[in-house]
Amino acid sequence: MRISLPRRRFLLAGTGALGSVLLAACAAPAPTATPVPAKPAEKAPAPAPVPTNTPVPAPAPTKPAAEAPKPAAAPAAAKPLQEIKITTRVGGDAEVMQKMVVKFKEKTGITAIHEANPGEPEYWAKIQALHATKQAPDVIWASTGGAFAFFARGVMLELDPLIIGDKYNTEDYVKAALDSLKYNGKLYGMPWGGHPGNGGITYNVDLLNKAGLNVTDDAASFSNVTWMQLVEAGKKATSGDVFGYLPGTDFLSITNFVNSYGGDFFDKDGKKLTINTPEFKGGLQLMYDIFVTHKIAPVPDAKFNAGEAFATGKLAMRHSGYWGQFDPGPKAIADKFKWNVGLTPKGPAGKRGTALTINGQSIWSGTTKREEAWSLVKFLMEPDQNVEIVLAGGGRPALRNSVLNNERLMKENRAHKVFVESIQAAEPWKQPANFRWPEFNTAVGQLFGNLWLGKVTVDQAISEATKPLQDILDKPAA
Amino acid sequence: MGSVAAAAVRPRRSAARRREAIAGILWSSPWLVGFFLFTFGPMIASLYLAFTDYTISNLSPKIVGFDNFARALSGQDHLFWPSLVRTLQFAAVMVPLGVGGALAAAVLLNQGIRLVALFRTLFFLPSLTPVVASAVIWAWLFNPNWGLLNHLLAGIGIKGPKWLSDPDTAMASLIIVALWGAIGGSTMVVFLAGLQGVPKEMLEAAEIDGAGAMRRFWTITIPMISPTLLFNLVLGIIGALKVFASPVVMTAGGPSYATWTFILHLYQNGFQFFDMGYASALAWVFMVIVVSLTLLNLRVSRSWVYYEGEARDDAR
Repeated sequence: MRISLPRRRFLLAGTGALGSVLLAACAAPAPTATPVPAKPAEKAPAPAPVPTNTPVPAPAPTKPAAEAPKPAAAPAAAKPLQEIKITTRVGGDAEVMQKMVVKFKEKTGITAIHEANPGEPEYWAKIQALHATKQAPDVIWASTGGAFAFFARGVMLELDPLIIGDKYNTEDYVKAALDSLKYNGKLYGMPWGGHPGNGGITYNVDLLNKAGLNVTDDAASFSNVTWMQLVEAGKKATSGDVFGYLPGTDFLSITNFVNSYGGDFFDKDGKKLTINTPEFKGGLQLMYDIFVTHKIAPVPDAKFNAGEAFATGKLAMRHSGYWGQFDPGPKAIADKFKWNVGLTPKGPAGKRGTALTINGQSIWSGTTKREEAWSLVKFLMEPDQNVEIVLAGGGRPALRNSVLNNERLMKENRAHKVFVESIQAAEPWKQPANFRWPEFNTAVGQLFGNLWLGKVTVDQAISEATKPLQDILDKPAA
Repeated sequence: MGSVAAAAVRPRRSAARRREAIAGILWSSPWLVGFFLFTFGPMIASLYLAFTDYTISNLSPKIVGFDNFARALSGQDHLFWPSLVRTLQFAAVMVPLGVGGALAAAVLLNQGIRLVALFRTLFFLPSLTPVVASAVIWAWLFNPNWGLLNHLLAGIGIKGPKWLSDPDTAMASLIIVALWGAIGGSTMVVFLAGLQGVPKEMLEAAEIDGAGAMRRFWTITIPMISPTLLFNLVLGIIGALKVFASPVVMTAGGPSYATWTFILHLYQNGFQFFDMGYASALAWVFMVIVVSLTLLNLRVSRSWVYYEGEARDDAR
């Protein structure tokens, strides 16, 4: 049997095969014919997106609702304990979780397997694929940036019945934090870690003192610095290859500026773009001046390691957040200079620009091990555990008063105290009504790029960004 | 009638041949099963999904007809055409420089010079470097504030560009990185193999007849390696059109969408914005473009590719 395969045909076949591979790579897991039934309350959430920014009362632990399902966290003494799975994104959260599951087993006897998945937004693609194939982990790390589409689709378990059934006391929790993890008035996650939406500036005390700004390595000394004082100090600190201040240029960082001027990207419903307002433009103009007019910031670069530049004394100030205490951190900076992390200044609106951003712990709606999963979530939310996590530099503080006001955190984390103030005053999480925050965030990063290079003015940048951003808000729910 | 006659003269397969065929199929079955399950199957699934509104969160997609294709082609997706044009521009620069550079490197390494094995290894090394590792290194080199390239340029009095940070130079910077990996890679190795197949006696005869080095190269070497050239050209075009890893790692498609290529756009829609139906449609649009370009390439190749032992139309 002899097969004739001319070279041209071979090339053609090769091309076809390559194309096939490409298409295959793009193909998603085939959708199942029937959706995975949501086990918890058997009440699928309404498909229409509902703005989540409106505060909703926290669950009343002592008053079970009449229609609440049977308590799920009944004593499990007669039942053998089951192995459960928990997932986080890679990085600090994963490192911490590896240690937490060991402690959890020691305390409860329940084995929890931890799986680290890629960072966001790929993290969510993986969770959805696991949900579609009924293999999702029992406990799911869920951040406000991507979780709401999953709350809305019934991927996560409503936690209110567990809380009520277990008589779990939520009085210690920051109410705004619980509200921020609610969809349609139902709670879908516990606020494992939170921050005011970046909102921090890591600063080099020595460089700023030389530049005439009187701050110390007590973070509170930075709290009354104004934007104008910051810019002036940045101008004086900029010299040779040392720069004064590098602002972040993502959604949350820009929010720190524009919100302090009273502006926001969109209205409270998350449906209408509001970037063409004097307040928004004021905040954006300040950023433009920092990059272009005064040239106190290095050229923004996608791969630029700002932490390294700060640790080597090339940056006097760097936009950051709660994590600025650990990145680049004392180990990298050593004793080269004094430093700390202060809050971003208040603007003309008399407030700091904030958006309460939370890393929650949720339970998969398809889990068959609710009791064990709920035990793990409760364990992770215990103040003692959470304080250890934060001190280890692996996370943000749980939004519970006993954690936020913890003495060790106040004493040992150099900027904890000022961030508690900011977290407690933070505005609710801001997102499009259709939950397309990752898409909106990506577009913001691209559309304002020319502004930081001085290729367009603030008005031109806003004009160019308006249609693409509004188009995203107008899309159907993710 | 003809087919009956053909069947009559067709030799019957012997049992041994049948056994051989079955064995062949069995041995290749793992690959076949893998191909149908993990490549062909998803490909068909993507064709179906291209006509649906499937988002990764939506487990019951609706058929939307050609809406996804209309959204792309009508410009409703404001990034579709720019990303496609940008990708074609990348390929238009990358392919001639990449293939030409690889050929030049292969010709150099085909000379009987000392330490040729060492040079071949050195040329090949960049292609072995993982994209992410090389991206990190190049990002450092290109850094407009503290990077080595601008530092060196400043040393000779030149103010360096902003490289990856400026929409005007970002794509050119990516091409430099891509060429660094491509010139000495597998394309060069294939060319080397092709060059070593050029009969020495032909080159010697031409030399005796007074043909210079360039003349010998253009009239003997190039025609003799034209099938290799076609092969590298076809793969080079496809590879350039697929450009994805370097923009996603080095620039995330920025600044200001300057390196937002077609496959990056597809990936973003599918795996970051979860619009799988639309991303599938983009993949099929891309498939059509790639196949069309390849067919065109093969068609045109009939006029310039010479296969040894093949009678050409103009020689008949």
